Amino acid sequence: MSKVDTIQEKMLPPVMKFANSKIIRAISQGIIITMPLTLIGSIFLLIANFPIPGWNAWMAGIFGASWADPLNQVVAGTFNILALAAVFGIASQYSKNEDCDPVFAGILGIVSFLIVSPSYLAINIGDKVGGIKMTAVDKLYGVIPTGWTSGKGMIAAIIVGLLTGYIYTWFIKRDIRIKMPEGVPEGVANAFSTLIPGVVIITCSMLVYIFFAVVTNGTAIEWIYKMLEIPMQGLTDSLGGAIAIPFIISFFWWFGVHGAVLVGGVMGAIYQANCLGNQTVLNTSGTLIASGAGRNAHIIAQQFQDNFLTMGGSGITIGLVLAMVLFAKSKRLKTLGGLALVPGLFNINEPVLFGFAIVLNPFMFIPFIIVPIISGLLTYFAIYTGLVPCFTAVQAIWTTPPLLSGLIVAGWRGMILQAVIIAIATAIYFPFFKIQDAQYVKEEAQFTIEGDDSVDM
Amino acid sequence: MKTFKLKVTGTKDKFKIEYNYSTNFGFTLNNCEYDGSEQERYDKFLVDLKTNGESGPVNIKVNMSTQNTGRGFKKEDILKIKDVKDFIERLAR
Repeated sequence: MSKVDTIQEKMLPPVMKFANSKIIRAISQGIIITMPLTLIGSIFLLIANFPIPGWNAWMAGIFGASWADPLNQVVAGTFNILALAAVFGIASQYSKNEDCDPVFAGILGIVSFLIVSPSYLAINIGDKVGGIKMTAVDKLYGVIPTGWTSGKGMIAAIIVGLLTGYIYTWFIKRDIRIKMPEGVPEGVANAFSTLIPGVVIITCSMLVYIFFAVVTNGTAIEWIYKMLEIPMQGLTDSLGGAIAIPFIISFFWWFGVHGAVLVGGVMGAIYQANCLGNQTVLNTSGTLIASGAGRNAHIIAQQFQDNFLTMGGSGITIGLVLAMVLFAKSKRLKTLGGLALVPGLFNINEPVLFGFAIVLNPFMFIPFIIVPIISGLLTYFAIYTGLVPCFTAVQAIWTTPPLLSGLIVAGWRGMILQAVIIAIATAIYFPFFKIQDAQYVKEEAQFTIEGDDSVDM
Repeated sequence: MKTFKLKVTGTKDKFKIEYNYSTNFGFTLNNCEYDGSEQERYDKFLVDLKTNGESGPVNIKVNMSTQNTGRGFKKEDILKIKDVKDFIERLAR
């Protein structure tokens, strides 16, 4: 048995079991619900902070000093409820995967999340409340602090969403619910069905609230943030993370398992928390610092994966496509390069993965793994050293072409970094491409000779 | 030669496999019009794959209620799986 077969037999089954587990499927399918919000919010945030010198002054000259307020209101309305959207998505998706009503499960998830969240806003000296400048530290009750319903609540959203989905479906699947007579409209019947699991979930949430209020003098969300989210951010937002993430994506893709989806499903919440954390720092202190004692910013965020590790497709195969377009001599790779260029510019590379082929091709394993790791290291150190600015909440959808996506998420320096990475990718893929191309040229010549022979006969 | 792309939906017990092929690396997909039960259609696919399939891996999109992680399998590995239910089981491993 070859090493490849051994890995396929030993390593892939537990990975597939993990990826296809109820928990991971609910998280990856549920958290995707936040994507439209982040992308729409990003557009408004980008307009409010367009990376062109003099933009703010120019817009203020036309629309007045408060020109960005409406844009920022949209930004707050989208980014500040991401954890609520995530908890709804995860609870509803868990329920949907169990063939139960998703909407009520999602709503119960939001309710539970709010029950175990802080319902006050800490007021500091100098803060303005209702136009009055506060002279002492205080708490404003009866509010939903949006800090906890956005980035700081992302891991809590996963936990609450999963627990809500599990409890809700546990009751429904065992038929422990109020049943309505035949003829009652389905919507009404579903609403009554929700009552028993709803009471149980909400009561449990209240007990959790009491427990954390007594034991920690805080809330479950705050505890989860301190004990889980911050350590998880620290663990992944590191040099180790910058190497491990691209390695895992490419490694599993090479075995034919969609690595980017696998990693994105697990890391999505952390990525969003990191983006939003950076934006909060930017909004409050105005400067993001990615290294040293004063470090206040995260490096590894959604943009790190979407726009730098997998630009041009997983494995950054746009480098290989460029090599094919520019230097291919075989008919096969000339055709493939020409066809793959436009999809590659939109970061779609399945035809290359399966047509070149890269998937399960031992010959292409090394460049396919190495190129994204180099990209991860370059991007990490470029941000770490301040050569490229830290990512903020501005995000570019994963299909945004390279260079443009770099410009959007990290300004002109991000665009240059992407260009450098693509050039390096092309150089690394080139020798492997040349050998494969020569092989195809030989095969095509052989095929032509055999064809001629058969005609003569 | 054909490049095959399969799409699997449904559950482990009640699944549906959609067979597509391409002659330009997957850029244009054509439906493989196999008739019959899932087993009969799978049998026809195996014959088609053996006779006309590229040597590269087969791309399989999975959108089942129990799993949604796509896979790529070697041609020779698929040709060894004769029972369509074993093929569905194999997707999860």
